[in-house]
Amino acid sequence: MKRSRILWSLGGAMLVAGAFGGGTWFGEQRVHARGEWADARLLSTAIDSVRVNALDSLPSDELIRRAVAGMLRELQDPYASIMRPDGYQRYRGSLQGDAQGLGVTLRRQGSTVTISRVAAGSPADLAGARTGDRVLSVNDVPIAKGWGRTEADTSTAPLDVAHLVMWRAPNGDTVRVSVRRGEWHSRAVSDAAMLTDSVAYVRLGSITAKTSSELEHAVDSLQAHGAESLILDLRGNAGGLFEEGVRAAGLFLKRGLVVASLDGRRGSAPEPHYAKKSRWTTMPITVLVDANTASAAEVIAAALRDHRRALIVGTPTYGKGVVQRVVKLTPELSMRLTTARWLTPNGESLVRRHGTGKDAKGGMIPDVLLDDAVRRDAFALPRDWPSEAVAAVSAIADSASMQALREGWSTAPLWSLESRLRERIAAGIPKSVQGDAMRAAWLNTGTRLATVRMLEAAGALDALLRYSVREDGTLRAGLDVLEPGSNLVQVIPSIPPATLPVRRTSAR
Amino acid sequence: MWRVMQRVMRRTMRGLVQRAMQGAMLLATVVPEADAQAPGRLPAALVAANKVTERAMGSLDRWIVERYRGAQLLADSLSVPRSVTPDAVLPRVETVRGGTAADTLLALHFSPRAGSAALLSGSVVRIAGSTGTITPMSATVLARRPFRAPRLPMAKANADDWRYGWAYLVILPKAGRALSATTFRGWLLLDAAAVK
Repeated sequence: MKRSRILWSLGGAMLVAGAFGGGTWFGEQRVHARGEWADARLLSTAIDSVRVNALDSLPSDELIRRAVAGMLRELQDPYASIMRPDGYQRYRGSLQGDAQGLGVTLRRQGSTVTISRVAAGSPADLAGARTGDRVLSVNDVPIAKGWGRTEADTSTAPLDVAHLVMWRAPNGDTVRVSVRRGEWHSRAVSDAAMLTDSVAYVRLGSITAKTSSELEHAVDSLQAHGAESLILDLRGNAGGLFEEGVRAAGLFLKRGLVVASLDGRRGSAPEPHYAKKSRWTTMPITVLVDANTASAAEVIAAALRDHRRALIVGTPTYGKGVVQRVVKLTPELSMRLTTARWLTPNGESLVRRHGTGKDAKGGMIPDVLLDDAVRRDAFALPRDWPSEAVAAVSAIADSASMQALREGWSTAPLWSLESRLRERIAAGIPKSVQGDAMRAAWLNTGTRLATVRMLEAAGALDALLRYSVREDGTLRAGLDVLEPGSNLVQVIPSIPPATLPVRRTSAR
Repeated sequence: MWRVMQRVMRRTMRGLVQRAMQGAMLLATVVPEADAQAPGRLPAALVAANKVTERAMGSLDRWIVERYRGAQLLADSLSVPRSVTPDAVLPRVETVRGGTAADTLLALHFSPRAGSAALLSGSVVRIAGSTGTITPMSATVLARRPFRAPRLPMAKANADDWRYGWAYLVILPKAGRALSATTFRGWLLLDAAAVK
């Protein structure tokens, strides 16, 4: 009897205490909600007040959009932004690897315009355009008359349909194609080839939704061609999806190793992301980076460095150590916000780089630190030459390569092709080129341009990539560390005895 | 018995300490060139020349250590340069520094093994374009340095973790040359004696 009374008393006390606690909590919540509601009302009143009273007011929706944009600006988050539906679609598409346009990259040299790249699966690719085709006219406007130079050609909306008339080597056939602007999947692996008998090269242009599977497929296929080591080029790769970066790095790490951790808002422990599908855990790798390697591309490089899987070659990276999330506010408005920091396996958070080259602070400092790591185009013309000299060397190189193609010269072995082209170029050095050093530079540039033009027109794109190693100091440095000495000679052909031709002094 | 054990222990320890010292010398020190001589015993002109070489060597060493994080500088073995054969590894200019009277070219090459240098200190070299055009321009090798660069971050003592290379500091006089020094990045150095 006594015991039941005690139990009843205890139960009653607990009930009272619970009711008191619950009441206090509920009260606090109400006060909090009332506070938030008051803040929201303040914002609403301010917007109404501006709309009604301001001298140069704007519609309500625009005011709200700008209020949100101002709020994001005040957060000092350089990656936060507000997006309308078309911007959101573009952003989402870029992360998925969707590309829009014709799918050609053009290279202008002097008065000629050549297709330097046709994206696989793009409208131009499907229409039959090829790398190396020289564009004669676009929509009946001849290139020679300056298409692409006037504002009307470039500042208006992109062409829906481009009717291209092109000149195709080696026979000089005229090819006509109509390319309709469209969408295609842009592959994350933009180059994949064998640099030597055993060294493979893969360039990742971005980190999109299918990057890890595309990378896996590329390395698999190169391994079938004898690849034993890999140069992974992440230069110019601005990143993309964090999870895809983790998956791509995981391919080269042991299963279960931490690739990166996400450190969210204060109070929560960092959330580790592990290597799940591992494929090549012992293959020697060098990773090439530059000042534009950022975000998910840095996730890959940092994970491979911290786990001693790769040597990093290049210049300090961008230093984007944060990830963003998109929040849909309304069907018309989305907001991108930085929601977490990512940490390398060693727990390091990258800070934004400032300064350039060796003086740079922040970002990821490579193991092999170069003066300059920007990708060098084998077609590049000397920047410090006068325009007449540039035009002359391009014209002579072009003429020599086209003649060689018509005469059926073989592109292999490369040293023989180069030697023959050099002889032809040497015979055409203009008299205005004075001094041994300048003539040597002229001959060097002319031979290089003629060789790459011929390789491009002959469709020998793998050979072209190997040839560009000479101009690309970063790629060379990466290869040096993987395969020093004799194997490098496979990439950089040996030097046949070719001294600078003696200049004739007696001219009639 | 105890004395025998003590003697054995002492010998073993001495051997271990000696090996550790040798390893430490190789791994942690900058070894001076084997042919460096005491400047006090030399004529003034040679002393001045030695000072220039020392400065050049310091500059070359800094360049290697800045370029390859964790690189180790090795002692010069004074090996004989090989002749220019089609498969020879030629030093390639990687960094250029423009000067008023002369430009400085910093070049390097790697080899499968340590000790096979392409050029000697003080030798005259010819400059060749990346496509193989040998120019009449001559330059002088002021300093050279063998080194080993890591193949992996935080490379260990294991020989597979390292690559052996040679670096050269070369002086190219301007002598009315219109071309800027940057043109020579990626160009090759050939021993003038081997070029006909």
